[in-house]
Amino acid sequence: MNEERRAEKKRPKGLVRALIKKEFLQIIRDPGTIMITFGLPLVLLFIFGYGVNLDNSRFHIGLVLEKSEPEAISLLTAFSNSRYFQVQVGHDRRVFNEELVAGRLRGLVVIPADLAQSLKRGHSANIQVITDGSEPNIANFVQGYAQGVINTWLIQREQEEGQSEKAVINVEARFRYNQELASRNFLLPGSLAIVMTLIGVILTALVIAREWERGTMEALMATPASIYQILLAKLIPYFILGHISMFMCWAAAVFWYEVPFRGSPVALLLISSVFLLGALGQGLLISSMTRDQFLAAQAALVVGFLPAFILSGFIFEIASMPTVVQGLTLIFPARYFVSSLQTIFLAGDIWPLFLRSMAAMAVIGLVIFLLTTSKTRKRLD
Amino acid sequence: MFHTLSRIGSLIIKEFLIITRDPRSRLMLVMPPLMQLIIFSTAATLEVKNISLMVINEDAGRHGTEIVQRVSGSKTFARIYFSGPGKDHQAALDQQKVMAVIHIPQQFSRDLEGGSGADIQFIFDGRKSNSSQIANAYLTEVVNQYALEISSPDSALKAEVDTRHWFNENLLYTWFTIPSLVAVLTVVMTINLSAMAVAREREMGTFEQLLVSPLRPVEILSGKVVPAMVIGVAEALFILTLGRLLFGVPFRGSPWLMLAAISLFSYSIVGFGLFISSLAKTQQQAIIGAFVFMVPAISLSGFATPVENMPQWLQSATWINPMKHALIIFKGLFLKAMPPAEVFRHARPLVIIGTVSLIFSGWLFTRRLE
Repeated sequence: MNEERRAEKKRPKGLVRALIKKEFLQIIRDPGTIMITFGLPLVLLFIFGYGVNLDNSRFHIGLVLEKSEPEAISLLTAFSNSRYFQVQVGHDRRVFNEELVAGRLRGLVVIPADLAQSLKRGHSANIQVITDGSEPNIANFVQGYAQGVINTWLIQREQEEGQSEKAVINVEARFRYNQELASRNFLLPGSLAIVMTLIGVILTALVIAREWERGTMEALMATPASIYQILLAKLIPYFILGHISMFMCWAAAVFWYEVPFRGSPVALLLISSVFLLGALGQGLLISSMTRDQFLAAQAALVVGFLPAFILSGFIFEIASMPTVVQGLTLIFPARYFVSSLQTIFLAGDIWPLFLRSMAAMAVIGLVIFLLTTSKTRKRLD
Repeated sequence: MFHTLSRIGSLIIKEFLIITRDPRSRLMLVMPPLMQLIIFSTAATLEVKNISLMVINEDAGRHGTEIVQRVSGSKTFARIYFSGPGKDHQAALDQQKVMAVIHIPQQFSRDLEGGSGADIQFIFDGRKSNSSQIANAYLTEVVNQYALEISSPDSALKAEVDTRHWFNENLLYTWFTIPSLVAVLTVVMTINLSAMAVAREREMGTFEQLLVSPLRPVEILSGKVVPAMVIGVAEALFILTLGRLLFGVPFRGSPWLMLAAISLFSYSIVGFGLFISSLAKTQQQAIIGAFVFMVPAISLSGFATPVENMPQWLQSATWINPMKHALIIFKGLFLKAMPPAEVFRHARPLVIIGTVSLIFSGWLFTRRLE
């Protein structure tokens, strides 16, 4: 009697272990899975390490000199000495207009013929700055930097002529956590969220959708294993895979791309575990709802990858989005994960922020799991 | 000739039936692009506004207050917290409650009036370096302008810079995202469709049936290319129309050039897709292949960040990215009324990319035939 009960208790554990072993064998034999776990993350790190870059290089601008006189030449020198601009000089703006349409120039600065005269008489000298508005971010920077060059030039000029009363304000700007202002330093930690989404949502959704499509899921259901055991056995291998991939990316980010890592490994492990669980749940849910590889891939892209890319604050600032969209970002775990990752790499262990993020991700994950179990069970009938 | 056409015709009809037979697939063609257009067009912005700011003003004089007022009047900063000197600002920055801190020291007004030069300190959250830099440029501008104004009251006149933003006077970010999304969403849809085109039939075993039919490889290939292209073009036109209706983005170029550009773009994507499809043995591999193409194609296209910020070697490598050329043409035609010569210059790579990848996939099919 006792032995029987013990055997019964033991059996489920053995079952889960056997199922996990089966999943692992499947993973190892599937080149697609290996590709997603090890190949794609490195491709992504490469893209975000070299290609996606918010550190503006020198903007190509055209500078129109309507008249070559000392004042104008002095301003021209100020522009070509600026580290923000790569200047092409011309005397006719029409040539530059075409270049602006073609996108080869990002802006134009027109120094008027009457610059020296106006300045001498104390009139306003109308310096024109024209930007390529089809790239609003660049246009903003071109405008700001051009204004800066002109202001500095004016102040210097006044000081040289001794007119100024020297009301100077010295601005000291510091950028905490990222002194060198390398966008790579925050893009790479953020991209780990995308890698985890890939493995958690897309890979899981695809693999399990294939089981539904081929009917092997029904075969699994026919075994004595309960639905929870089957789901658990599916999740554990991908959970481990996700962490292996995470470790690989972390090592590449820190040792190859030299992103600082100021937090602790324990915090990283903890936060990524909470995120990964939710992501795996999302993948499971998608596969049980679609049961078709093509649809699962599309759905995983729409609710997994694209939100992690666009709605997570990874590149695009959440505060700048419309209020409704800001509200929407709250239901995607990637948002919390990205800010935690950026903090853990660049700022260190800031537990109040981590705890808040983990709590939010845990709540979302729980809702997803409840949905998944109800969906999967219903479909079995 | 006629036989070829009619055979291709039946193949095309068959493909369309497969794609539109399943109601969920039909839904997938319309709903996701629509939702993405609405959400992402407003979310994918590098604009900086509604920033939370902390002000530590220790200055008793009027200049400190004046600067704070000028800053708080702007759209860039939404929430402004006032705090005393101390460690408060560090925790607020750490926990991302604020993105920037302005510190005005005690003797600010005195120093400014005394003519010895006054100091002001800005601290930013470097975890968001792009937004921080824009905020910094903005704050510095406010402070410099103020310094110029008080140093000699009439010098504000001299500093007059007349800025004009061509093609997009008010720098509306949606004018940038909508033309880009026409390309992004078309890729998301078309690459998956075409990558699955052969892989699905191969996994189901129906591709062998096609191969043993009297159809020639070229005909099979055309039967796959045309439907995917048509859906790609329809998708792009759908997004273009919606973008114009919902967001009022102007379209200043020639519609016919746009149609031609969209078709060629679609052609190059379908070429890539079929190439992936002819390499893949299973549907799963095809999907992963499509993904491996799509992620770099979108991220390195100039949509997220400008191409000119990349290292030179990578900029040259983006030549094979159809998205990059499409973005230049689409934005050019939407906003700049780009002339035909310029459009053709950027369309030529699309034709080459599409044709080369189709030749390769055709070669892979026939090799499998033998």
